[in-house]
Amino acid sequence: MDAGGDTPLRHGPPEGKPAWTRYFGVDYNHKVIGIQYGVTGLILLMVGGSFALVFRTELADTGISFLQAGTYNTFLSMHGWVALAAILLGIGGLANYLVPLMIGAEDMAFPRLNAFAYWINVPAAITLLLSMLFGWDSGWTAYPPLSLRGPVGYQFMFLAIFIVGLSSILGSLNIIVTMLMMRPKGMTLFRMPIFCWAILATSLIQLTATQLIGQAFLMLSFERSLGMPFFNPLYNAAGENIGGQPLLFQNLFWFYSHPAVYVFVLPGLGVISELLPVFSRKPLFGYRWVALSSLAIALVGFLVWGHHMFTSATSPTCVWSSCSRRCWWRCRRGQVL
Amino acid sequence: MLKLPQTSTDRRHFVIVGVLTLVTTVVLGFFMLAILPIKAQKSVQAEPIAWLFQVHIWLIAFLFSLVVVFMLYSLVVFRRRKNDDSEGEHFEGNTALEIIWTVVPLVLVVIFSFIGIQTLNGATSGGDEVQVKATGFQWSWKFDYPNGVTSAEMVLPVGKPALISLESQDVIHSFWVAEWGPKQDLVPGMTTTLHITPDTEGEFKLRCAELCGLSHWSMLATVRVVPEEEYTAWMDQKMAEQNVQTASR
Ligand SMILES: [Cu+2]
Ligand SMILES: [Cu+2]
Repeated sequence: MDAGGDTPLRHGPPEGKPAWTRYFGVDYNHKVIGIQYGVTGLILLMVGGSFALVFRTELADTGISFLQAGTYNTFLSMHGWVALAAILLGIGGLANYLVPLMIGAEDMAFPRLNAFAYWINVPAAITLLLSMLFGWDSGWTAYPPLSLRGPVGYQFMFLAIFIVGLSSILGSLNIIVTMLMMRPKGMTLFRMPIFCWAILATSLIQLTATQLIGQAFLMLSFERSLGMPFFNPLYNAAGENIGGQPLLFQNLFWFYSHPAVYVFVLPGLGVISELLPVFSRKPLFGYRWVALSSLAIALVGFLVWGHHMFTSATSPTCVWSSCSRRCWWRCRRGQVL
Repeated sequence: MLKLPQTSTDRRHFVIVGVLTLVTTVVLGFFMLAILPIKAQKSVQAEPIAWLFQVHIWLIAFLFSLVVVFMLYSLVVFRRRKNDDSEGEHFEGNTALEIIWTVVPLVLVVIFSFIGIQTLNGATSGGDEVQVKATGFQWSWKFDYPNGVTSAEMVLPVGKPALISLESQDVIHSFWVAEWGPKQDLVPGMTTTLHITPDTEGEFKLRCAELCGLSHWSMLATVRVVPEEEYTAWMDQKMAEQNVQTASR
């Protein structure tokens, strides 16, 4: 492939092949990629939903009915990440399909990167599903030290989520560049459909926050396979911890996973803000405010991850989210991190 | 039949919606308080939590009613009538309104952060007249008292401030007696603490509240809150038992 060459833009079905074949191969068209994202997302959503149904059915009666304890934990843990991957793909589908059309761009800014960002999800999804064969049981949060001890299924899961995260980062980068650089003359930022603002805010979170969870899972993986002491405590002769800090993982994890809830909700808000004006035949009330508050959500969403760690142990995050005198003093005394 | 105001600019709409919002708030507030399980009432530290819970429920009931009543009212009263194909009135926005409904929630958040900090301070403080070390491991608990007594169940005198220090031997666990309220994780590599002043006698279940592996569900222990004399008697008996063991070894 010639580096720096123009991407072959092709609209319409491939030559000499039935039209539907383009959905099963590498295609650079943003609409095709959007549909690939969307359909893969729906499939994963059904898989994840079935997992939830399975362990919920087990819960219908007390005691063990048909799942073993370990299998139950695996189903429980799997459904979380499969559903998360599904919704990330679904959002990728909406964004890829609609944003270029809405802003009047011919395609995405980097069509090849776009196809790459989609296709790495396929091996990632397979790896994630393969982790079931070996099992893992920590729930989707994968808190160490538990996730450093369990079965080898964890390694599959870490790898899969790392790849899904990479796809998320590349996809959002592509969307942001498209939105900033590929608008035709006259399409100012404040003339973009409101859905595009929602996707812009979403993409900014995905681009920046996803790196933290990617890093956290990579560190888990390295600690498991290479013994790097990031999270597991290690005691010296005096009984002091000279090893890792389990809370470090929780900070990294929630620094992504709290903003991630806005990754999931913002596109939905964008869709509603797009549909309501159409069906009530009125312009959107306060367009500018809705646009800017989408960005504000993205920004403020980064400051509050500490609310997932109220019971964890006092930590610097509580300076942001719940500064009590007690925990402030503990931070000062250097008891945490 | 009730005759509704005919134009959308009529102020009487706001009066009607205001009354409906109030009624919905009261109904919803009492309904939620009735169905929500607020079990935690058996320690001094549970009180501020339960109080904050109630304040939040009332606030939530009001905000929910405000949004939903306005929305449903508009949907029903201003719906399209038969043979009416005229466009609705166009509003592009209203800066004053936007500023108000940005600033008011902001002020609410600040106020509630303050209340939250106060409550957290209340729920995480107390004296240390009784001290216990609770150690969690896969998948059970162990309790050590400063005088060397070790026990598989935790016994505390009623009404006395206790300081429980928490240590884990393997993975993260979480110390939770639902009736007491506060919950605190046991993090390997550090000691965490929990202040509890139990104010009701009885037998409670201590549960691990952080998924900690295969038998997490069975990581339970018994907690007994007893009168002072009974506590002293129990402690004396335990000391005698365990001293006997040491002597005979
Ligand atoms: Cu959150
Ligand atoms: Cu446990």
